[in-house]
Amino acid sequence: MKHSLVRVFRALPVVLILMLNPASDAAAQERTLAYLVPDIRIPFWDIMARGIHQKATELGYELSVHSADNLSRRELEATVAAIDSGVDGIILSPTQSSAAVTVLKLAEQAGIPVVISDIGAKSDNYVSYIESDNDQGAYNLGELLVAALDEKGWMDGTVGIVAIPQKRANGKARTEGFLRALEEHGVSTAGIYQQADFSYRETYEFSRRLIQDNPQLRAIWLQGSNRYRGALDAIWESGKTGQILLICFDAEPEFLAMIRSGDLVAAGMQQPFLMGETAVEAMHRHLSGAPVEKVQRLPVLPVHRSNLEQLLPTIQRTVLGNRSQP
Amino acid sequence: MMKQVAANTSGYPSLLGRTTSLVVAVIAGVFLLHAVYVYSTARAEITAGIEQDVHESLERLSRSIAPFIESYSVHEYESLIATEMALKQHFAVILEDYEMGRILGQPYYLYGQLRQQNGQYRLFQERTQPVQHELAQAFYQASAPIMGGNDEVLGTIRIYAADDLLVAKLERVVLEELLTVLALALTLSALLGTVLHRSVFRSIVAIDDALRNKDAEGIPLQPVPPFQYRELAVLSDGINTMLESIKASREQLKLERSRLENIISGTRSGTWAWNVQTGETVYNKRWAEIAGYTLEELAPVSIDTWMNLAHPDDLQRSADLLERHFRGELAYYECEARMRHKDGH
Repeated sequence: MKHSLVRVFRALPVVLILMLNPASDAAAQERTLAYLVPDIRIPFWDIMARGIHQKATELGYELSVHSADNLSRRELEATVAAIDSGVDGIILSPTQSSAAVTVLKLAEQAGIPVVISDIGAKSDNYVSYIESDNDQGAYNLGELLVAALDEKGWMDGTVGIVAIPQKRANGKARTEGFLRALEEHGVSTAGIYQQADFSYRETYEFSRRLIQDNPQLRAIWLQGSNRYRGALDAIWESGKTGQILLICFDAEPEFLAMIRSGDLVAAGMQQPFLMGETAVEAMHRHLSGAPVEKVQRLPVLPVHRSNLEQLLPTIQRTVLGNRSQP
Repeated sequence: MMKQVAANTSGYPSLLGRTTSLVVAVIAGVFLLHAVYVYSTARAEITAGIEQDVHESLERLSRSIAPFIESYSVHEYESLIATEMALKQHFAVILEDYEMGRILGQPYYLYGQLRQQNGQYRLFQERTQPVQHELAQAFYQASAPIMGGNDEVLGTIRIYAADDLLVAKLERVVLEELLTVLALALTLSALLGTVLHRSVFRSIVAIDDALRNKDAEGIPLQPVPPFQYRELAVLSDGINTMLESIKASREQLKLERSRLENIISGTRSGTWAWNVQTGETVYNKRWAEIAGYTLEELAPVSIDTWMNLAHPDDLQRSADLLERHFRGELAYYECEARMRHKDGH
């Protein structure tokens, strides 16, 4: 009893109880879901959490959101807290693919179904895995970058990469898709750095080293979006603004303006809001006894100045999670 | 007249066969003793090897797992244990993770792998009765604490070794050793047999062949062939010398007998001889003729033949003289006695 109280107490700071729409689905009355998220402070995860909340509310589920702040210990504590609270299902965006194995094992032992939304897992004892088509999205992004380099006559230039951890399945897929596009057009890579703490300082330092060590560098590709400012500052401080392009996976609200102005060549925009909604739908179908696809792959939107306006309504809703959009 | 006489030696054991059997038995015995020594040595080495493997794995795992426990990377250390199990084929590995246990509100989080009879590994997370029963079958077990960076105990790792690997390895050692012993024993026996046959037994067979061809009196007809080896050459020379001596003595005897027969036949003497010990008597043809008989008519002859034909007066005298000779009073027996002719005179 003492231990349980301690665990609940520890979990409290990372738990957000989101109230439900009273006009909920009668079939899902009193059912609860937990969303385990790596770091709710990161916009991508926040938008996904909102998508999950949106769909959970629609379907009449009570939802608790547990942020791990990118710490495995917090993630495990949140898992135990969710299990102890008797949730009917867990939506999991793991801190790492390997960490998901333990979460899945604990949930399986408790008989709680899990739907994974992004990142992936190194085991398959889940109901469904909702992922972005990282490989195709990165490939499309690579194609857009090659077109931009070609337009500027910089095809002999090199491209530096600041990657998310390659232990993650999505990290590997992004790297493979992007490199495939570069190789098909004969564009060389300058080097690849792997993020560890996802800080501004880390992104800035990796970008600075790429610029310093590679005089032929013509582009930096960030596999994550939130620390883009570090890369821009490194380019600016090196005096190469306008000479080195920036291209990002994922999206930030300000990216729309940056793409329009040309500060950002393109962005491969995942649709976290849509992913969250899809994850809850998958869990709801499972809890209702309906069959669920094991893997559901959602497209990544390759957004460039040329297609931005056309994609804007979709981006507003499924990428940025603005509920006012249809 | 000479003829070959074959001694009935078929029931005798073969010297070559017996010697070869003895050599094979001695070689096999020596190698079997060696095999026993190798077995006991191998058992001790394999046992020590298993224990060393367990302790090396303990040291490696306790060192490698610590950072994973500290970072709550459960899957990583589970993979590490699985790899170590597959690599070293331990019977079981159990990890008690105290850090994860705190999260779960338990003394520890248990992760275990157990090797089953089919060689597959089975995961377990509780020490159930069947698991405890299987672990109790372990041949050897050891444990080590997992220490964190601040010298706090993060968990305990236990490794169990089964004796099935020991048995399998020992069976392989025994099989290899037996095959080696068999191969070496057969090879050595064949070599020794060949050497013995070529250097010794072939010579003995040659002596045997030479001695088997005998005349009517059992004297070998041919000399034993010469040999290159000193011992056999001495034996061969000795036999040949004896054979030549026997042959020379026999020739001399024949010559003397021939002379005696010539004297007897030339003087037309009748002779008789009595072997007092055996009772055997020999009469020549002339002795029978003097008495008016043929030897066939007197047959079967004995001392009674002489006594029946002797004059009764001479018979008593002959008996007295013979008695005195037996008593040693006379150097030899000499007696003239009258015989009754067939015609009665």
